[in-house]
Amino acid sequence: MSAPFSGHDPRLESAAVSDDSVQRVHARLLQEKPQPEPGGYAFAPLMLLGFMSGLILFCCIFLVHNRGGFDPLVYNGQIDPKASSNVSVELTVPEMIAKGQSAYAQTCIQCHGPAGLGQPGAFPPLAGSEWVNGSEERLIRVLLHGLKDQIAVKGEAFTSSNKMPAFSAAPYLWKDDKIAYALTYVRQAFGNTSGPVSVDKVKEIHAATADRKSEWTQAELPAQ
Amino acid sequence: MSAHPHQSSAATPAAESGPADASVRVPVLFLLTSGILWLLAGSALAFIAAIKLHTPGFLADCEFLTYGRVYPAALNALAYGWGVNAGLAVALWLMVRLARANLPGGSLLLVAGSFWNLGVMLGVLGILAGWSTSVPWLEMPRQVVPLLLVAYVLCAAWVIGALRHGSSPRLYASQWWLLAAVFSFPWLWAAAEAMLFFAPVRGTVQSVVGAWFTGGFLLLWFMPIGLAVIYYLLPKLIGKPIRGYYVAPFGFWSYIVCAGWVGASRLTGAPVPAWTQAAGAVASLLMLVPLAILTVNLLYSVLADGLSVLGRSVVLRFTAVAAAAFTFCLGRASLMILLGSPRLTWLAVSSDYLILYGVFSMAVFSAVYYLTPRIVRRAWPYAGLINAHFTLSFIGLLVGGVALELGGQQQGRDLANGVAFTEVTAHSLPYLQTATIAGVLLILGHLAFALNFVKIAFCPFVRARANAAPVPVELTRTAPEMEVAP
Repeated sequence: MSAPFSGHDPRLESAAVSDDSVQRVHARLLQEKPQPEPGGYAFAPLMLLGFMSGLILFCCIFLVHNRGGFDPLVYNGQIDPKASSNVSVELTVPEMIAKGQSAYAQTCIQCHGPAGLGQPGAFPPLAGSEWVNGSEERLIRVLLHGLKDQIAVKGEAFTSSNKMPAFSAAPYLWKDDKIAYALTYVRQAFGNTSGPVSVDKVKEIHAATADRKSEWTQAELPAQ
Repeated sequence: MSAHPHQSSAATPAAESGPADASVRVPVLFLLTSGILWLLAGSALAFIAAIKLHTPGFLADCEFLTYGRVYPAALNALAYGWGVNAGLAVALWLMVRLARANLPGGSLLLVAGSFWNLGVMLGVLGILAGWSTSVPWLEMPRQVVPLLLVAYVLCAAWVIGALRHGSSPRLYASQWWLLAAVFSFPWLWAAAEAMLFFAPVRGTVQSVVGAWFTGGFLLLWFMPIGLAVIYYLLPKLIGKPIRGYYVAPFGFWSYIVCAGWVGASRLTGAPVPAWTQAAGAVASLLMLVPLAILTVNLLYSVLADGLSVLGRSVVLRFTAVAAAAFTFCLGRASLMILLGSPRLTWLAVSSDYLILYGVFSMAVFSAVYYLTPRIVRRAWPYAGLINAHFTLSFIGLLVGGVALELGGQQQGRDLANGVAFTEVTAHSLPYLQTATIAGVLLILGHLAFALNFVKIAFCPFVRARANAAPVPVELTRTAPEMEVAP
């Protein structure tokens, strides 16, 4: 124990410099910026700045390519939900109903009313309607392309100057999934108890009737 | 050493190892002792878990020691037992040193420290008894968490107190990093516990919170403590200033800004929103900025004068390995993003292992070897054990890291090629067996460390004090002044 410890004896590693001088020297180093070469620039800070700028640019590009539209439901960053229409996010029925309800509350409610009762003689009711609760395919066609002239619902005839508009066309331009949500909603609201309408079914009908330019008439849509 | 032109002057008569060191002797020794006990216990549990990976029948009949309990118990014992105890000990000593504070009543810290260790013990036993929360790195049952948080705050308050009441007018880089660690950890931990267990968030967000915490724990507790030690010991042992120190503040802030986001990159390929994964990846890439700065500051400071200084000093070798591991860890994390390396393989385990062992533990070992003689005022008894500890832990770190790295790449290739899962597992066996051998080396190193520590710290209390050796002259002299950089 009495043997003196040399500078780097592991049993007692000696301090090369004092704490106070370490702090003093480094505090001064913080103040002193690197001196430029004579007639030139300080190379290191410029290199660091260039590196950082390049890195930030790269990161921006990386983020744009992998952001997945900042959509909480997109888990694969390579897919942009807006650009790729063939990718649809499967919603559960309650989620479809929720979306359908908000679509109904914004648009359909103006004619068909908050309780889906319509207006006698002008707008047919949805509650208990055989059109709503009947064939899905007929119902989808009505929403896609609209309906004009006359319609008989629950034994009552409706003739309105306001026809049912085509929701897949301007000015509405509803996507197929929105149409499915709205139909799913009305088929279980207002006392109706019919099953949901799938997005795929709407797509199928839309593709089959893509040439349709004008509204349907009741004669063209027989109950199936 | 005495060849320095600016020798100690009459203006600074007090030896460096003076009242400041003495004032924290009891709490630092207490935290270190409990940390080392946890290190041994955690290593033993980790060793059992490592064997089970390739020999599943081992201890399989004992319910407490099934893999699903032993592995998280080991992880928590090492992270909260060793990591936080040893981290706090080093933080306290460094802060007292650098702030030149004199902590009165530091032994009150024993109360808080005891409760911390009680809490960790209850937590680890709870995991072994089957009350794990099953969230990685947060497995301790939530009932012990409030106790642990209060105990942590009462411990960490002394670190802040030391800074507040110190007489040094200057802040050194080590102090920035210590403050970052001391403040980040409770915030990360309390927020994660609250969002996962006390008022749970729903669904996917839970895994995001879990990854955020784990990344934060590694990068904002373990890393900063390690960095604080490296920043302190390099100039102290080499006697030269840190290279490129003028950008160190920028390195610090860019690190702190990015580090919190890096955790999200642990979820690459997981079923969480894509933008979260992308944000994590971007943060990992941006870490290249602090990585470049800190590599110049630390690794280059070691290497600039050649390796001869490393040959002379074992303590400096520990520090240098920690600095090199830091550069390697962050560099590899960015590379993995760029190459799109597979996640959820042994590669991920190897990253965590490198931070926990390569950066944090190696830095803390060097700090303990440096500080313990100064607080107990006697030299380490066995130089051979220190050398053995370094050799064993360095080889263990290397072998374990390489085994997990290669095993992870093998796993990634197999999974990408659609190899059957049982085959994938079979292919990784040799790597896991190698990792177990590395574990043996590490445990032997820990035993050498613990033996030396028990001898230096407790022998004066066990034996009669009469035959205590005289204080070595190194501890009574004043360290030379640092020369101004040319």
